[in-house]
Amino acid sequence: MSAGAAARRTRTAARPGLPLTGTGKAGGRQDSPLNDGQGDIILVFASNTRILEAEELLEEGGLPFILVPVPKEVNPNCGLAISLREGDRDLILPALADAGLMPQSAYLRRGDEFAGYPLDGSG
Amino acid sequence: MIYLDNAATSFPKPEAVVKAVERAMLAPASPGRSGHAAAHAASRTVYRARKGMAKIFGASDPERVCFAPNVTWAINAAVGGFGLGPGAHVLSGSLEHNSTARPLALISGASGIEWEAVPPGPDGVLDPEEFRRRLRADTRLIVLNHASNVTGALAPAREIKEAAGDVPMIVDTAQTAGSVPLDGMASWADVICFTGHKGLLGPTGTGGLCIREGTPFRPLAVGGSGSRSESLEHPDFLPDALEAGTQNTHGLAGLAAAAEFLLAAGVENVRAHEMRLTGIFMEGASKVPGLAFLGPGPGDPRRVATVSVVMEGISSSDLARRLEEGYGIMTRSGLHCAPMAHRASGSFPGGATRFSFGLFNTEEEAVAAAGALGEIAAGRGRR
Repeated sequence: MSAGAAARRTRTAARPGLPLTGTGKAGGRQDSPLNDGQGDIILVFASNTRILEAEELLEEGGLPFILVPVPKEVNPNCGLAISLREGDRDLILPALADAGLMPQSAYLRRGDEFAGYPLDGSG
Repeated sequence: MIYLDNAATSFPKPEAVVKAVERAMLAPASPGRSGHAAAHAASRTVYRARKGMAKIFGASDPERVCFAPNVTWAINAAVGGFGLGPGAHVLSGSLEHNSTARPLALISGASGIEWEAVPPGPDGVLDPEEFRRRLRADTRLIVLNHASNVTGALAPAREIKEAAGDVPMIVDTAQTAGSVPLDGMASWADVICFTGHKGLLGPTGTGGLCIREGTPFRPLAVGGSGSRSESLEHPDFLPDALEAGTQNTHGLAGLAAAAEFLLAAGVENVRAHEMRLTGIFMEGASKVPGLAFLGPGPGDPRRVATVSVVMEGISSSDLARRLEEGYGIMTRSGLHCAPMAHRASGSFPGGATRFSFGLFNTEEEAVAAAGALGEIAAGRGRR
């Protein structure tokens, strides 16, 4: 199952070139980043339950994110990860932190390239 | 049919529960194992059940709720979590079901652990002071059946916990969850064990533990968890640590619906209804000559809607048979998997005939059950 398939499942496909705004129901394909120079931040959680809690929190807050299968390039787990546009970091990470739902690890994806992404704000 | 065996398993189940199970079985169901839409939907179903149970017990974090096939499994896991060894002293009540008694007997026999059961008072109810009096420096754990599945006696669990001080407590809520408001229990009980198919009105094969933060736990079984797949070590975090193998998504879909049903109905309203029926039944049955109740008597609120009786001149099993054959009343006779409770109540080995009321029973059924006892006792029972 591709990341795009997971995105299609729960989100309306974003139109290329438009920023993700307003709600978790918007979304974009992680394997075809929008043409705005941003990467995507992939948040990997310790447990399946934790990601469901995070998903619920972000949905209730109307925050922009999509769920994707955990990229095998960075983590061998078989569940889901939260993907957000880099520019939405300050909307989403503080909300997760306030709820005690910080991810176990995070990665910045640009195209097929992944790099560790610091969660302490230095990214 | 008059179904008065809700302490064994509740019947009927709310329609929403039946529908939820059906819906779940019509979809792929592998929670937490894949990234596709169906797997995610199954994960959300299990999460809904987790949230529902957290609300029932007043737990702020659904991750502290771990599912298991039943309360027996949950109690075994809970006891094992404390890693007790030789020299440890464990207290329990004397009204325990075998679901707690057998795990305690096993570890006390094999591991040099001393297990002491606290008897109830003359009124059939456990006294917190008796627990306090038996506390020792080496007391490591208290295991408590919150309500007896035989006598219906409701244990003053919070008061016993307060008397126990820092000694951790496992509470078996098999006979209270869904029937008695427990929405503050998670703040003081170290481990709450529950089953889904009795008062919680869910399907069989569902149950679990709610573990307070800071309480030790260890897996009873290890295996697939959908997390840390790269490691041969089972995850050490909740709920994954205690949920090896694919969860019972079909059953948990029903449990989620059941919890939502109960929370909407109000467990306090369920409690009021069941106790009203219990009062009607006990008042009627108390007029039957030669009939004795086990546990708290008529009018005593320290009970749940489970009432066991012993009738002079007829065995518990024959009485149950007469009730079913003559009146269509379904009860349970014998020892109810709880020989300790029968010994403590003076009804061992003959046992008793148990009437247990549920949310869907009616006042007419309670009256009919008491009336049937009266006719049988008077030798006028239907055949």
